[in-house]
Amino acid sequence: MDFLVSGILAITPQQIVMYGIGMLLIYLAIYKDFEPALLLPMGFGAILVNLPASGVLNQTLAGIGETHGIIQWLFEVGIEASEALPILLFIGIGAMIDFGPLLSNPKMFLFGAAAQFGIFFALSMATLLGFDLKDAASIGIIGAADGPTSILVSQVLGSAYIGPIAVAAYSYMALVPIVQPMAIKLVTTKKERRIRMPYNPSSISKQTRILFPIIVTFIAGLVAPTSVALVGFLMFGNLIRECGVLNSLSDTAQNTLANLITLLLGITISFSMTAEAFVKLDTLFIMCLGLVAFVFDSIGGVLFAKLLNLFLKEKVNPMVGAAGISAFPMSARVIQKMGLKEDPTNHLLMHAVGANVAGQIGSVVAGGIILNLLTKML
Amino acid sequence: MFDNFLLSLQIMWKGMAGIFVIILLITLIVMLLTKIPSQEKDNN
Repeated sequence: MDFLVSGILAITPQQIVMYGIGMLLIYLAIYKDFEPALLLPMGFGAILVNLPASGVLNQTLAGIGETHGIIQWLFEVGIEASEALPILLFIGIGAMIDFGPLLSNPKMFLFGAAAQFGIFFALSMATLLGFDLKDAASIGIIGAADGPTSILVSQVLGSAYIGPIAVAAYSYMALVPIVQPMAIKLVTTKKERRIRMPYNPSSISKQTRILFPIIVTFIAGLVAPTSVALVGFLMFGNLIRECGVLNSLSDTAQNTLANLITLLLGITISFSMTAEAFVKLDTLFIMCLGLVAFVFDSIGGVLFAKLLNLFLKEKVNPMVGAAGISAFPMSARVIQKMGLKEDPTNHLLMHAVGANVAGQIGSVVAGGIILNLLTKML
Repeated sequence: MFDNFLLSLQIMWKGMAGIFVIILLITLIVMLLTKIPSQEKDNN
């Protein structure tokens, strides 16, 4: 009857740690509502891949030979071979985004660039902790505050840390309401946080809405060709949304496609959460660097807004700069909440939403540029 | 380690400059687009 207890006897202490991490992710997803669509599948997957001789991974069985595991197959086909899962998810994300608030207030685009600073700051910090450039860049991209971009960049760069990077990216996205207020308060005064911003949007034609995704694809694609997969699929989704003749496809992309891919993406990523790959001191460093990236994204956005204020007649509330990260709509909501806390009549939501959708473009452009620079330097 | 750090600083300035160039180009084109008169307007 040894075969009945062989599984229990084969459990390693590291695997027990992974069961704990898996349970923690499931708890955070269900009871704290932290990115449940991703953290729950990742948490459950972390348990699945860490069961001894797990059937979800490829195994070599005595007398039978090699058998294939479903999670390993999903990872090899959907992420390793083609990065298809994160890229396809961008169609759904693009179809969900209304660029209207940004197009009617194009100044907000700049915050989508400034708030990517945390990526590069964390990248530099990672090199000081001894990570090589490819891993450091993969870790830095956690600061894109964009799960699919983080997964794609770390996969293309061949980082061994894709699991911890995905966990950090999604966890900190969920923690934006805690991380951003702390970072913003570090670099702003009460007076600055009370700056009012009147909202006078200009009207946007359908023609502009249709041309926008095409033009962005051309510009990003010509300047940073490696960003084409990211930007192109995001803008493809947006074009489907805005063209007005593909409402059914737009609806499918926003709901069915996005849900299906999200469902598979979380459990597929768990392939890289095996105990031997995850239970390391490096994972702790990556979690800390992810936090650093998010904090310096916010600080970068705020300081850039302050810099702009030196030249602008109509001042920008510096908090809006911090909304230039990709975590949508959490970041915009955080800024609105902080604005109302300082002055109950100061509504910053639409400005913050503009900066926030700019951050979605900024983050995919940043991902493409990192890939571009790394491939030229290495 | 320090060599990688120096390279990372290069990546930092080139990366941020690259992002700003792309975003500025997009901003300018969007500003131009919004100046083009169109019969059909919406405020969504």
